[in-house]
Amino acid sequence: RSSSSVGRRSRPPRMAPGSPAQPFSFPSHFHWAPFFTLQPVAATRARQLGLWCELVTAYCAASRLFVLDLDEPPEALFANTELPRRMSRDAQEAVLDALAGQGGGEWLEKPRKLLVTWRSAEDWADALEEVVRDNALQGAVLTLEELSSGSEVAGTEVEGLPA
Amino acid sequence: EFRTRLSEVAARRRQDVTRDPTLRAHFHQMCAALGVDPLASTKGAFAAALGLGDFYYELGVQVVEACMATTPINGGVIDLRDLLRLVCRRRGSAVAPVDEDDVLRAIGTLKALGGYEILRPEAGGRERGRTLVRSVPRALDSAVTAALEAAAAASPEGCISRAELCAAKGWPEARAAAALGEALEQGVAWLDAPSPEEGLEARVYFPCLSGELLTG
Repeated sequence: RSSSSVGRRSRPPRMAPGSPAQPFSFPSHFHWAPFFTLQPVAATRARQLGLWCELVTAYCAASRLFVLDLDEPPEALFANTELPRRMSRDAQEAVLDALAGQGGGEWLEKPRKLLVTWRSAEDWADALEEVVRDNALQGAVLTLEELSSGSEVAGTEVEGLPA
Repeated sequence: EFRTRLSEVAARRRQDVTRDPTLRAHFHQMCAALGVDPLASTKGAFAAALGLGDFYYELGVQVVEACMATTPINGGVIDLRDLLRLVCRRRGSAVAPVDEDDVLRAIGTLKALGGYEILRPEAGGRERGRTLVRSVPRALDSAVTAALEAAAAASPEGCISRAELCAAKGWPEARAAAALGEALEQGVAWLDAPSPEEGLEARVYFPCLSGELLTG
């Protein structure tokens, strides 16, 4: 990584949280009706939830979505209006539960609110370190709020990171 | 002696045979006529001359990989056309093309792994007969096979409701329910049960009948 002492490196454009920066590419099974019914057979359900966990993690990473709240879920994720099919609330909770179970998220409020960890804590620490270096902030004292939404972090990967 | 001449020709045309599926099929026909199995031993004259042993071994590995990758969704039953497409994708365009016959021959060498059986469910009406490959050891129940055949004929998506199955096979409800339940239990079918508000009948979908939708 370069740490330029002159000026700041160019920033990627600011992204609206909650929706993907580019059109998200859904996997092929997202266009298959049974994917939206919580499968009754345990072995099949396990595979289905595995696929949903992958999808949720990828979607959250692409949309920079940190928290999944089933009371206000992203519209595009748990339903496919073309089929049309949607995941029932029970099914959505099963997905969140599976994701938490495999370490892909941490409960903020079980069973409806999950912090989705689509990036490891180490990677976030690295990203934060880079922002600090780029802005020559070493040794400065910053509030958590400045770290997640101050002017230095605008447009960086760290923007919007919840405490 | 004819067989010696044949192996000389084979050695000379090695590259052609590994490159061209039609030529390969022709070669296999000749071997069959002579009562020779070129795949029986990689030390055999033809296999050595042509390097066919390696060719089918590699293809067999690609078949196994494609089957393992798709088993989580289709329960280990896949349409031969979809399998061929997936295998070709794995192979890429720089190598020799393969066709369905090649895949079937490669599958023939995989029997030792258990499973890898070819299924040819009955086609109904306009539906052209399809060839399925079962890569898991457990055989398909006859009731499940019947339900699969009915689903293939009933819809292009490869799904069927209990009522439709009863009508198609002239079965009582209990028998249709049991067959569909067994298909779900064996992992070769998934349930589509939209919410009651949507007012739609529940259906059972067979992934191996969904064609390009699931395999891409």
